[in-house]
Amino acid sequence: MSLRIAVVEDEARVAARLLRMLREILGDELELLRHERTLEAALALVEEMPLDALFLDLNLHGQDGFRLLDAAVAASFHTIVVSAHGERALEAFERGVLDFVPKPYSRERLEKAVERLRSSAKAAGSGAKVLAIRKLGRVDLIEVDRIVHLKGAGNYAEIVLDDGSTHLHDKTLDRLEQLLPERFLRVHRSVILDLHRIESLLTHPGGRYEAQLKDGSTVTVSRSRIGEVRRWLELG
Amino acid sequence: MKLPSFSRLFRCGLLLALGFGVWAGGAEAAPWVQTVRYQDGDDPRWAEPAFDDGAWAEAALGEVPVGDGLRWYRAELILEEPEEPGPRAVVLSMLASSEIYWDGRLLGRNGTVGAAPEDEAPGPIYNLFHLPPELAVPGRHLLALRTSSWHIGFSPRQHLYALGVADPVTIAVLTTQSAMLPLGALGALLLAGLYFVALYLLGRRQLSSLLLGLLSFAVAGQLVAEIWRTLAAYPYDWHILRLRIILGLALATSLLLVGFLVVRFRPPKARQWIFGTAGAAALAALLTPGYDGKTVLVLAFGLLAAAGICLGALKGKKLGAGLTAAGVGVCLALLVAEPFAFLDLGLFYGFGVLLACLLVTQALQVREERRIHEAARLNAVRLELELLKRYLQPHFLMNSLTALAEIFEEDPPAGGRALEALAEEIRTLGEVASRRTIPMGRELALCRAHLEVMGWRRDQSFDLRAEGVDLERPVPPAVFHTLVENALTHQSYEGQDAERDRIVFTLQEEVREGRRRYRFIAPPGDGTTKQGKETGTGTGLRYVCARLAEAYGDDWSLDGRPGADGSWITEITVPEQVSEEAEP
Repeated sequence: MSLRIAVVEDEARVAARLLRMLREILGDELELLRHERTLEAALALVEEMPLDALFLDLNLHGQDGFRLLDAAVAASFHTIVVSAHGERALEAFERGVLDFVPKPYSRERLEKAVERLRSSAKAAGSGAKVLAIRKLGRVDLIEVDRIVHLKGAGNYAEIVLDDGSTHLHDKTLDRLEQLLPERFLRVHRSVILDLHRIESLLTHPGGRYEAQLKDGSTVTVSRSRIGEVRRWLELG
Repeated sequence: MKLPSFSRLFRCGLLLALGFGVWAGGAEAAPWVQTVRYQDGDDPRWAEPAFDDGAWAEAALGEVPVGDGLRWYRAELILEEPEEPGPRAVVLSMLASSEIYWDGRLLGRNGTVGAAPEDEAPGPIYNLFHLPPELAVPGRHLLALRTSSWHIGFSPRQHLYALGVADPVTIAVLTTQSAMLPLGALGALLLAGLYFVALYLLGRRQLSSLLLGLLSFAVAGQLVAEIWRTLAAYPYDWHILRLRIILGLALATSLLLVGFLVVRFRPPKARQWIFGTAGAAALAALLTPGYDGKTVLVLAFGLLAAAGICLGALKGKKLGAGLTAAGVGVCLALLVAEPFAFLDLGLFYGFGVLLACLLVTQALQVREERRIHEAARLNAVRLELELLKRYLQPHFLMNSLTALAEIFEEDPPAGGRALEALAEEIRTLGEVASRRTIPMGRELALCRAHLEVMGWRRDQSFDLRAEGVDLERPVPPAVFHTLVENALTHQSYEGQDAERDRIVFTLQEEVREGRRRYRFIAPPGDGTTKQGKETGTGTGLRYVCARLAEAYGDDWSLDGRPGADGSWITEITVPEQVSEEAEP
């Protein structure tokens, strides 16, 4: 696995630590490691080359910091916040960050964050409550509770809300799955479904499965996932 | 029962306060002399009832002109059958030594009458001569007085106050009763005076408290001087002294009243009020004939000035102005209604009301000042917390620790030095946070400690140059430190070549036209602006303004502008001299 990573940190010594550790942890896996002093510069960088992850230092003390964070999490890459404001971790997770590394940190703590990047494990915390999406140059927030399901659309994801509207997210389905709460399950290669919305499971001849949703629509469930869906429904 | 009119009550009280006199219809059976005949010179036969005094001058009792040498007075009295038998006495109140003759018989001596000043021994201003029962028979009697008043010392409006026959027990009772009100008032005034003077001495040294305490004492002094006559018959030659004391106390009362109100309400042209009152009162004291006239005018000028100040204070809606104006109004009304009576009961009623009003307004003021003081103390605590919090704030502390961790891993000895700088900054901050001002030298040390910490964090070299700065001068804590911090927060210096460039901040101080001006210059940044780094929150600047206000009141200014070379210049102007720090 090769990773393209950018670091946004405006203090030289603090940035040096993050860059050094990332180099040490990732070694050959590192395809690109860029240091920028502002998020603006990092977002401009994405226009030229895709990134896998952004290690972002923000002063999350005021609203300003969260506004910038929304711009970051709306992008295609995963955002890992590295911040002095450890007390803001929960809010950051609710906005859809993959991890939150409070300063000061040890190499071990950073390794955990990198491990989340490497794997498809769920993000720490109980999942995003809102998803930030970029729309016509501005960032909108979508409440996760309003999402019915998400469909893969190439490098994007199409989000279907309970009012039937659809919205494109810059992240892939894989990355969104990592960020969403547990109840959002990959029921199909190209579909993530909020299991709370299932009314019943329909079994069709030929081993085809469909989930009948409470709003009357149906979503295809793949054979490999049907067991997990059933387990979830029994438990829930 | 019909209530007595105020004026009558006033007059009655006045006469009672004097202890005796023509209480119109009050002591029914007691005959009082209304007019007398008098003759300068000396002749023992003038005591005889048979002597024909038809050629002598005649005048009402209160209008007899003063004569300093030997003089005789004669008056007829008719004694009626008393309703109840009891002792009788001749009552005499006069500024003179005298011998008193009843139907040609010597009844008693009041001091020693003398043909020359050195022969005279001044008698008391007031005396009773027992009238034996065999003499106090109903019918016509002749009272003759042989007097001398060499030691009178001035020309009083009146010098023969009372002459008649009365029941001495009744007189004693009335005298005691009449003294009760003034004595009660005296106790209250002394207590109030003691309280406010003690408040001044033991408390916060407020001039208004001291003036009010002294004003209470001055009015108390006048009361004492007034009831002195009632309670103790002093030798008549002390009368002038007593009148002078009363005049002096009236002068003090007027000036203290105006002074108190000036301090209390701070009218424009404060000096003119005080000197104007003093001048008018002094002129009145010098030019007005008669001590009563002098004293009344002196009090009148004080009250008029007080009324003027109160009107201004009312317009300015000052705390307690209405109450004070009411008190002054009552005094002025009493003074205008009965100018001379004002010197007696007016003092108890008028100044009693006025002082009660002043005490209440002063109490209100003390409470208000306590509130302001508490607010200031809270403000100081808030500022202290704000400053300390800055160093507990994650953005500073956690980033510093992260940088420290990195330096320790890269170069442990350097890590030690960086840690030292951080510790120094936090320690200094903890020491100065609770102070209102600190010496400039300490402030500079704090700024440099911060620059060193930030230097370690950013792997850059910062410095602060002080030009013409007085290191001993007290300044509010962490004001320039905040400016340094703000500059580092808002300006980016990362683009500069750390190897070559030393980033230098400058602090200049100059004194011009009584103002002390500090100019803080932050060098130009690298052109990039910062994001998400407390931009626009303005907490730093708010802190600076609050600290300046705490140290200098309204007497400061703060101004920021860009310099020609892209630097940022902050100017703080404060008074050249500042009072010493009052530690909370």
